[in-house]
Amino acid sequence: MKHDSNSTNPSVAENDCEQARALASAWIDGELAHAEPLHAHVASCAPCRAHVARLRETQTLFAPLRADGPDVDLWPQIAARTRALRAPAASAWKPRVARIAAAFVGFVGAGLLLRASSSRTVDSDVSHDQLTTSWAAPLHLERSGLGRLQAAPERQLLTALGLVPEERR
Amino acid sequence: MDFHDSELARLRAGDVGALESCYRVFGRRVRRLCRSLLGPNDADDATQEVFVRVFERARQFSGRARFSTWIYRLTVNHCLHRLERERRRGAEPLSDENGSSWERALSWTDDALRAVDDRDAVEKLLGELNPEQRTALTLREIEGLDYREIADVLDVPIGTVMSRLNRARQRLIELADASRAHASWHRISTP
Repeated sequence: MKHDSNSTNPSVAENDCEQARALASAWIDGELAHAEPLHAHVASCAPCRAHVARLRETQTLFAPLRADGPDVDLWPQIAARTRALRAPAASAWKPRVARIAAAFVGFVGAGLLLRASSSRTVDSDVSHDQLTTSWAAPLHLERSGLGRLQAAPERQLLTALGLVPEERR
Repeated sequence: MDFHDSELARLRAGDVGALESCYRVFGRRVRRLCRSLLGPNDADDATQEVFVRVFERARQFSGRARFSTWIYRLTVNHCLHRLERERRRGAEPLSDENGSSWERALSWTDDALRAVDDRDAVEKLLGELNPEQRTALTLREIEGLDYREIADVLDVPIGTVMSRLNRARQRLIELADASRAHASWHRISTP
């Protein structure tokens, strides 16, 4: 295929050996669309003519490599490598499915536990707060009759604030 | 022998029989390209790896390029990747126990380029080029691709193909000159 590109195939000035040598390789490959200027330059320039002749010599170098080398059938090795590639892929589906199933069960189980825990939390909001919140605990204990024994410091504070009646001694 | 669309469809579906057909059609070309780019020692292993990759990636073939272009591209990329890996490991591509590739290139001929008709010698000479030049020259001179096809395989503009080929041939001429100088020096310095 010949390429007509101004960027790669500019005209060659009569004395422009550098330009001629840049294009000579494509020329000997038959890839220049407008080879006349280069042809004219090479015809009139002995050094460029010698350069083109040497480029053509390089083309002849590769004839030995164009011929196929010794006929070696690599298919058995390729088939073995391909089988090795497929074997793990084929046997790997069971563990993969098991992992996915385990993850699904875990996810669903975690969701159920979270839901149950959430329900209990709502039901026991009051008692939980009453038992754990520092200011509410004495009130609760007071009502339960345990405050006298277990919450004396807090009771003193609450008495001072007028939140509970003063204890009779 | 051609690789038909029906076989390509089977290959894309993961049919190993279609991969064998693909190997029968393209195997020699892929092996020849691997040998030119990597040298004879690694060519067979690289060829096997290329076809395993073809099998793995056939689904990715979009059909925009010719299938042969796609396989060439896969082969070139794989070989360049191997060369880069060897370079990082400090190994010299195409090297063997007979000295540096430069020394071997200088010793392949005493009579310039015309005398070279030996496959091994040409491979050693090819090994003197950098991977970009070697790839472009191989696709052109050994695989017979035109500039448009080379540009498609390498995914570069045609102008880049032109300059790489020009530099590659220029380098071959320099190597031939060095060989001539080496031969002359050898004749002068040897009593």
